[in-house]
Amino acid sequence: MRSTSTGAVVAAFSALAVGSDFALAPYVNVKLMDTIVFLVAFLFGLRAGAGVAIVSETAWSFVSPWGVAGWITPFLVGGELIFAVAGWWASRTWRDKAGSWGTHALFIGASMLVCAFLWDLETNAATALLAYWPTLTLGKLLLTEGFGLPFALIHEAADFLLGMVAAPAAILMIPKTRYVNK
Amino acid sequence: MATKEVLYGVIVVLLAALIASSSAAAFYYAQYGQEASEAARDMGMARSMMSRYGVVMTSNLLVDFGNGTRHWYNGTRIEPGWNLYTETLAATNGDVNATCCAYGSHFVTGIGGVQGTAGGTKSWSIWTFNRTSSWQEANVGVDEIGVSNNSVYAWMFCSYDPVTYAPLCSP
Repeated sequence: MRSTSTGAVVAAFSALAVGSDFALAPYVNVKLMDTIVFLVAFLFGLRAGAGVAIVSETAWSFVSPWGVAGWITPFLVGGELIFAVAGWWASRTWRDKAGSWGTHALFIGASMLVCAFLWDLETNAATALLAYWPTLTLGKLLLTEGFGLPFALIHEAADFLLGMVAAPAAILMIPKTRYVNK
Repeated sequence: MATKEVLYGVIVVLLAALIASSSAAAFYYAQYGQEASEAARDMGMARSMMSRYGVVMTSNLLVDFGNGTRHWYNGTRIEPGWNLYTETLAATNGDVNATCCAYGSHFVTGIGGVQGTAGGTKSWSIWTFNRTSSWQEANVGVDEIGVSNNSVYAWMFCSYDPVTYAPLCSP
């Protein structure tokens, strides 16, 4: 895919991701951004997916209704890149393979759940690092991870459902662009 | 679908199931621990308040001496863990005669100087009260009756049936 096309895809889907984040702001940890990043990486490749992850998460870190994220922003972006890598890997593994889309949907939903878990694990660890540095201990790290557990559960459930429903539906609805990066 | 793709899919699904179940279990464990901790803290606070203020509940006690004299000890202050014997002692300032403890409970023979005697025709009986069944004679020993907030009890001194030992009176 040409760099101009990649730029256009990143711009369009980043705007969609940030806009959806605003729309879903009242529902804590339910966000379409993860699904969009996964979807873009699946359809347009790792570079486009990573671009959307970096642009949308960076933008959201500054314009979020809860205020500027601050030093944790790089960790949020890093966590979002997990979805891009997973989308790219899923594309290489399952795209255009024979089999029902019901099965594919389950695989994608499960992938999204794993990504959400890793995202929460990484960002909670970053929170502990920033909050307790330089006196961070394993106990404090585990405490912070435990504190984030209810939010992680919501995040995992939401990403699983969105990954099972929204991502496969979008992949099926954008058939032509699926071959751009092939 | 090729076998390798299916295998990858199954691995991902199983991994997701493992994460979901582990997260749910960890959440449940954390919630349970938190609830247990809060319950222990509340219990500690309640015990602390009881030891500081001594009394947190009241009960009402009627003593009928069988000679026309009835005395209500309304608002008798009680504490958690007390039984009717303890309450009677508190209400009457210890003016109770009793033997201990043939059947696992005190046997009250006298209250306020009114004394039953062995082989006599009168004795003390215990009565409990509730709104649905009104007064009923207690069929357990006085130590077995745990008193609670706003509970109502009565001591009656009167004759009893020589066969059934049922008191021939009621409050």
